[in-house]
Amino acid sequence: MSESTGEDVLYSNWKDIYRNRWKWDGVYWGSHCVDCYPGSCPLKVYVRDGIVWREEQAGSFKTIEEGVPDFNPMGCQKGASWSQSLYGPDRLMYPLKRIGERGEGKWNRVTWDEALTDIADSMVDAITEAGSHTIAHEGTPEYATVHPTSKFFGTIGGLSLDLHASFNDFSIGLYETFGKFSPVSSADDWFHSEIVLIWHMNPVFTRIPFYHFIAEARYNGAEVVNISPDVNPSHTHADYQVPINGGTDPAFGLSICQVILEEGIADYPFIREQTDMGYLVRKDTGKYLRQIDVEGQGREDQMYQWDPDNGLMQANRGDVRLNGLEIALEGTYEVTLADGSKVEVTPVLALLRERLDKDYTPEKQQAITSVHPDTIRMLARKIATKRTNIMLGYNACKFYHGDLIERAMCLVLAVSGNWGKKGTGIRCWAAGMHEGQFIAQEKPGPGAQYTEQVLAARDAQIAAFKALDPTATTEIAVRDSVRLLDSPQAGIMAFWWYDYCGFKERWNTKSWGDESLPRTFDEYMNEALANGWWNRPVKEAPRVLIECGGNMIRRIRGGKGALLNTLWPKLKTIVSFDFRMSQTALYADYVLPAAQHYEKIGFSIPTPHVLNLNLSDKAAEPAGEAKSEWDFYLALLEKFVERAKARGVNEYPVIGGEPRKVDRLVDVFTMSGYYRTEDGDFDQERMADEGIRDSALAGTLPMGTTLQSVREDGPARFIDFGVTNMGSAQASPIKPDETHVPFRNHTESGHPFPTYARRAQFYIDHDWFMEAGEELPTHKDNPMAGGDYPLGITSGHNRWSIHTMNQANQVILGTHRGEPNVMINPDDASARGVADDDLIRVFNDVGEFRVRAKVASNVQPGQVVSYNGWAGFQYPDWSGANEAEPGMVKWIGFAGGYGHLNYLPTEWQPIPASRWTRCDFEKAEQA
Amino acid sequence: MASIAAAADSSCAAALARGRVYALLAELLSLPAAPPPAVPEARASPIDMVKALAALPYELECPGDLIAQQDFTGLQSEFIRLFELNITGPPCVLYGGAYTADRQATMEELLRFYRYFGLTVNGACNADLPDSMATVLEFMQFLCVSESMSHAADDATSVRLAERDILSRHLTLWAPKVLERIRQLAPRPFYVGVLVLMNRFCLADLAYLEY
Repeated sequence: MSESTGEDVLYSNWKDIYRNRWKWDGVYWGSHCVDCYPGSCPLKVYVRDGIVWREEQAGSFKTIEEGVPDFNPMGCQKGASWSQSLYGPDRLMYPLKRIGERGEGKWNRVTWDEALTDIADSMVDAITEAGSHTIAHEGTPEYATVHPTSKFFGTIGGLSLDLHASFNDFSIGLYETFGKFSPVSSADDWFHSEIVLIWHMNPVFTRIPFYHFIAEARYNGAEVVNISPDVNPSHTHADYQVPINGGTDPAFGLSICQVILEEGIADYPFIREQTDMGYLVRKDTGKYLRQIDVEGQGREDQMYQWDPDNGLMQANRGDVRLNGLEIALEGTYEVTLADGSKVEVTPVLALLRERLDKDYTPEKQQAITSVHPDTIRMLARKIATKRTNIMLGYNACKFYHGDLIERAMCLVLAVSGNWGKKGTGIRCWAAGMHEGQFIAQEKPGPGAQYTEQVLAARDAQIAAFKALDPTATTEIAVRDSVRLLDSPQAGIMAFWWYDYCGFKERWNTKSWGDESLPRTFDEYMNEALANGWWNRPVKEAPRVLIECGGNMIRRIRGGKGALLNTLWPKLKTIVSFDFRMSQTALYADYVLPAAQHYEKIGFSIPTPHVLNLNLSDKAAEPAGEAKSEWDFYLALLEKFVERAKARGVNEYPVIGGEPRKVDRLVDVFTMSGYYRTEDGDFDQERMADEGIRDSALAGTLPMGTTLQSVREDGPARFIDFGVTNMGSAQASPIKPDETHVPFRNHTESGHPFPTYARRAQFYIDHDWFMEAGEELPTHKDNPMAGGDYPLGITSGHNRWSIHTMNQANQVILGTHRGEPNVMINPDDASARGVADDDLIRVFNDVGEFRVRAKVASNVQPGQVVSYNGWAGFQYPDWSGANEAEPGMVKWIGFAGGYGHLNYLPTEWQPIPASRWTRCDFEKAEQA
Repeated sequence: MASIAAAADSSCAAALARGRVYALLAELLSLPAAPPPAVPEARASPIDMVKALAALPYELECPGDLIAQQDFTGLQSEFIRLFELNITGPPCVLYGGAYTADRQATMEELLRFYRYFGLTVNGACNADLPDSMATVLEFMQFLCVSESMSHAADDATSVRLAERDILSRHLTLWAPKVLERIRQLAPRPFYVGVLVLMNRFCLADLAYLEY
């Protein structure tokens, strides 16, 4: 406490203290930059005496498109009560060092200097004994964290594990189809939809700030269809509920396509231009007809179409437009090959129709999905004639055959001509646009002139790749260059899991995967390695793990059971930099306190959903001894340099990079001191301002945008997507007075897709896909991952938290049962003698967890709904639901050597499955 | 009100003695140093507390659990386990607002009290959050010292009224709940003793102020 000017009136009773009006010391822009995607909700944050007391939705958005509702007032109950978490009783205030065994829960307070010295020494040990790549961190999309973390690990030459594989929000089926997984319309574009298919998503829970666009679309005449095994909350305001059997979505989607094609109501011009369905396939091999077949030389990825008037024609790899030419979609044609032999060829669509008619008529699909044929036909006719939008979450991709689910969804849109137009498409997630944030930390010096150097170099690089392939668009050139430049591939998580976390046995358990495959998992993986599709440059086990924005034990499929006896013993030092005790922090050696929203300068993840750069300003000092990420890493780096030099380590090698000179590291991190304050801290203000100015120079923000201008005017709307992977993947211009819908460049300007076939690719003639019978979208039953048990676990985000964030918020805790639960059908409960709120043991061959039963008639028999977001330590024995997840990786993720099916950071790579894991439950002893 | 005004004539020493107990309690409910073989002289010890209680203008017994504490090894780890990062469930947090229906309202009222008497808190430091037990106890110490330094009877009365309200509206409401909570966490006797004492002392001091 300190003294200030007090009242000069004698105190008589407590009412006296309320006589003066409450005043704010400051009101700041705020948002929640960590974990919440799309988020980007602008709030006003109110501060007095250095304490954040409350926040409220700013409601400051302007109308974008005339006749379309605006975004106001974005926010949800979690954001509106975040300040309660800021000073919650679980907030970490000072550095802690473990004094018992890992996980024993015994801690002592240490100074920052003590902690950093120990950690720095362990880093020096790791570098001298095994190499800098044994110092690792888990990837994170968290915007306030990703830049300082990547800068630190890039500076020291540490190992950055690929963020996407670790949490698997990678829509693999979208990627296989489009060559990119992140088509994202702005949320206000949902208003333009005439049919909204809520399919593997639950927006009433998970898109609280945006759900109103769906409701408003409905008032505008749209029909909402909710497709899910359980009658989830999003069905409440839907026009149709389609209760589908879990994981049978491919059959459902393919049947809709069958009806559309059979009834001749497909959008054939769209199919011809946008997709590969007019490409010719050899009947003798089942492979595409290629230039190398026809001419004996040329491109392996140059395919053909059939012009009814002129016969065989090369597909234009640089432009999808046909200008009215009706290439063949049916029929069989004879082609003479370079060696003089003749083969029969047929368009992909003909093969597709053959398969659809054989296996996926509405009547046949009913046996798989339980959806009535009339429903299929009704929906097919609507979809084919209306602007249709599939509201896809990050759920389908977490099924073992998630790619097949999503490929079927894409096919529904393809045959009905539903992308690249307002109110259409399918969604996933994308970030990007704020390119200046990257430029500002990587350019050689401060100011615009160095920015221009970076931009010029980048432009030259893209131009070089375009010169190599004149048919490449900027989008394609960007992807190709990223692939080439990330050749070390050190951070691929699949190898990390396989080598260090004991997943080899799980993945080779045939009955947990696709049993129709002729070979073992290892055989596929080893073939992929032998073919050079993947590198595996890191041989040494990790020594130091620094968690900043990650939470590995909670994220990983298998949880503690997967890590504590495998990876953990290999790690000499585990550091968790967090604002609260996470599941991983509980098993760490050091837990260091992190600043949170409102205590540092940050930005929401810039996303096409909202298209704004949204400032979350520093409204108050970090609580206790907490530090921002930039300050933490700068302090650690300085200590590392001090300890390395003291131990005679002045230079060390780095895999895939230049040797690091220890004396230079701090300069690299701070741009030779430009990003330091006079006090020696990291200058967040300068970094933020430089980044915004650089985005303006890069052309993604309006010129003149600065940190000061966003402080004064609020969120700034982006004007261009720029040239990052996810930004350029939108393949659309940003129009200042229109909603955003991706893929307009493909539909309006003829830009090819970044796939092997340069079209939305539904026929993948990669050997592995053909071996699996998955060259076309198809249906396969979910494997018995976890063992032969009668129930399947599904999941999804809950209403009350963003992952584990907000779980301990007292306000939020008061709005639900306050402890983990799983939802089970009354019949399943009754058969096992379980009543509502009983403690049950959920188990399979992988593991088990105990949890309260929520007996819920909205859940299908055979289904167990375990919402995501509970922290492991909220369950008995700290064993959360992920303890029972086998984390199977579909072998097809290791496919390579095929255009877009080559490693791409954060995109193409093996990802783990967790949905519809097999399990059973029984009544458990009370905790 | 009349009894409060009369009591304001009591000795400066009594107010200082009461303030000393508040100060020692604040210290005992702050994170102890680690890893001391014994409590350093500069910090509060059970012996200090026994002496301070003896100087009070009324009788108050020091809990045996507190006096018996001789071994301070691992006390910091125990403090963290009990009050900050319990691993078997929610800790026994030392924020009074957490034991009320509306923590923010509690924090606001306490902040208003502090500002009324010319103090501000530093929100960046956890110990200074308005409803931190240590902060509130330090504030009571401040009021007691202010009372002892009051030259006019009205001034002393004013301060004693505030002391009474802090006790009746806050400390005496929280203290039993904190005690109840810590007993669920298999604590070492020392901290039970501290909280038993805080509970007893707040009730006794409120009674002292009201009569």
